[in-house]
Amino acid sequence: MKIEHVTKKMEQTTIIENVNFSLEKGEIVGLIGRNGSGKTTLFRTIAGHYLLDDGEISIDNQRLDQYPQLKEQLFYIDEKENFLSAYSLKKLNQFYRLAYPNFDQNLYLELMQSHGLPLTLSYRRMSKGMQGLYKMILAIASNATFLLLDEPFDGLDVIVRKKVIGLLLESLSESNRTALIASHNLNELEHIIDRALLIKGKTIEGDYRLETIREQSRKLQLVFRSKQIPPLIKQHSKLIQKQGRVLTALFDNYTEELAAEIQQLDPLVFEELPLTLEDLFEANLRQEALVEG
Amino acid sequence: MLSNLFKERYGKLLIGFCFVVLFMYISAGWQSQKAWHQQERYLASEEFIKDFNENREYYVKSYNGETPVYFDSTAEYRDAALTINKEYSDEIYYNHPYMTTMNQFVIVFLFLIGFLSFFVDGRTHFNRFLFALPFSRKQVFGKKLLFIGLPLTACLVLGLLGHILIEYAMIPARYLAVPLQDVLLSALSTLATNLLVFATGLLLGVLLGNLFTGVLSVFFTISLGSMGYSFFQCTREFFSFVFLGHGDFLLPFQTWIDWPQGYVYPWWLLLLYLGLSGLLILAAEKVFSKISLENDGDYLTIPKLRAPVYWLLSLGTWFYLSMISYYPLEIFYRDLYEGYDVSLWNIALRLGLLLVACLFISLLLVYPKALMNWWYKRKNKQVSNI
Repeated sequence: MKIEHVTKKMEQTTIIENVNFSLEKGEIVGLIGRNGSGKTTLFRTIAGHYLLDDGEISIDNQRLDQYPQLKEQLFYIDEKENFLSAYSLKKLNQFYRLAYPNFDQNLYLELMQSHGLPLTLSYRRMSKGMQGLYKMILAIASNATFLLLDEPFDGLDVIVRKKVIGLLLESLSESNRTALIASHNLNELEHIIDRALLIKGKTIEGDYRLETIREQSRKLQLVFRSKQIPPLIKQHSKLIQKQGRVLTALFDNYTEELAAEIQQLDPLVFEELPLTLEDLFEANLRQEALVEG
Repeated sequence: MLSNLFKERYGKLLIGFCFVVLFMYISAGWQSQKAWHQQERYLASEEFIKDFNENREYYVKSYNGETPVYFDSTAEYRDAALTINKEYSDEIYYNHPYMTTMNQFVIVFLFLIGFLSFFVDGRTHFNRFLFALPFSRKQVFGKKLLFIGLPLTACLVLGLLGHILIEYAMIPARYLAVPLQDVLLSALSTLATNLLVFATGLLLGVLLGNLFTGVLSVFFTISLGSMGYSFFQCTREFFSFVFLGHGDFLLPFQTWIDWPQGYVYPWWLLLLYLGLSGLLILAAEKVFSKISLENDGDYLTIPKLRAPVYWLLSLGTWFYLSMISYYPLEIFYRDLYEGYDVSLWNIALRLGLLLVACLFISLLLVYPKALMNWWYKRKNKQVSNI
């Protein structure tokens, strides 16, 4: 799936602009960004809820607006605004079974039974955790190639969260399906995703392969004699934290040469810390204003 | 797939609606023949014969100038009273078994079904599910329209035919003065009116998005629509005054037929109404295709239509309310009736105030967000100046 130059405006305000990325089959991609950065807008635009102001979305090089039948490969349930509350799980099953031609009814029933969800239950009466679990079951049973999951772990307790993640990983590992997951729970996301898309300033600013990041980037804790941050550090890193003279910084392209140059500055402390997705998020988005929407 | 989804979503409700439509026509037909038979029994009773003989002066057949002409016998009166014509005679007074208020219920019901069939899916977020399906908006609209429209139209046809069948089967033929062909054509005219009303409701259901102001507008439309006859009469009289210099021009044909009483639209008007229904449905489809769901809670689901809808709503409502309140006609009544002492300034002032009210209320309906933003900006400015 390719997202090219996608722009969406609301009431003359640009929410996302010139968004470009592609999703390959079989990968799990995280979409990370601050509140109001346009993650949900991007999902809704891909799913067809919102009309595009510019750009195109295609699957197998065919545009979704011209070949809407390709949308059967997409699964998305809006987190906030959906119709599920009005129905029982049995009725919802009917809807999704009809909507997705490859819906795996046996798998659906099996998952429902194994997680103790009776079909007669009303969606409205379920706890938030159970609703999240149920939406994941629907997503998996839909057999859609591209799963768009907006905050799937939001509000789930640790037990349900582990169940949901387990379910997702098990399903995706067995098939050639792709998941694009927006989540604030970066600790969880880090262990699931292959790639992270960083949405900032209304567009995708970074596309990181976690493996490459682990190879190329470093998180260092440094203490220098002077309170001033040396220009070399400013030039090559993104500051995560500064407490007195203690700096914690993320170096995107960390090389042996750079390490040697830093050592030449004679730091009092030079320590490598474990790099997490949260660091990446913090280093890149620390300066971005919190936007509503 | 779509038809099955719609079956899951609306199936039972649609069956219910169809039964209501059938029930309204069939029950009205049954009530009509029942009323006729009650009338027949009464006109054959001793009580009636006694009353007729004792109070002959009440049983007026017609007027010869100022002089009343009375019925000669109970049989003559009975025949006149029980005969079903398509309209009241100016000269003969009798009970009309076709009289019903059910036509108003059918019209309001169809308008509401048209409106709700699209409005509810917007408000309950079912459109979010539909828009994510592997179909174009055009396909979703078309399938939904067929799913709801076809059975409903079939029930309207069945209901109309059933209504006619009950009356023509249960009332002796010699009392039915309207030819069956006319009644069937009248049913066709009624169907055209019904479809026009349904299509109007449907367009509003697609176009309006706000739960409060959208529903308010629909009730407003129904309330104003119930005064449609006054509006039509006043408008006809007004333009008759303007173009002919007198107010008594009558159209030689019916412009609104909502019950199969025997009235028939001229063929061109029938085609016009059917064409208008088609255009409204086409407009609804175009609007549906352009809906982007970030606007689904706004008064209008398509922001680009705000300006044209605002002007149409405000000026249209102003014209409608002006007409049903007779304000423009008073300009001509001043010359027509002695002692009609109203100045032109007075009329202009009332029309002007009504226009301002319509412009203001329409502004509140169509541009609530813009007004709120303006209000907050103004308030913030005041606070920052302190």
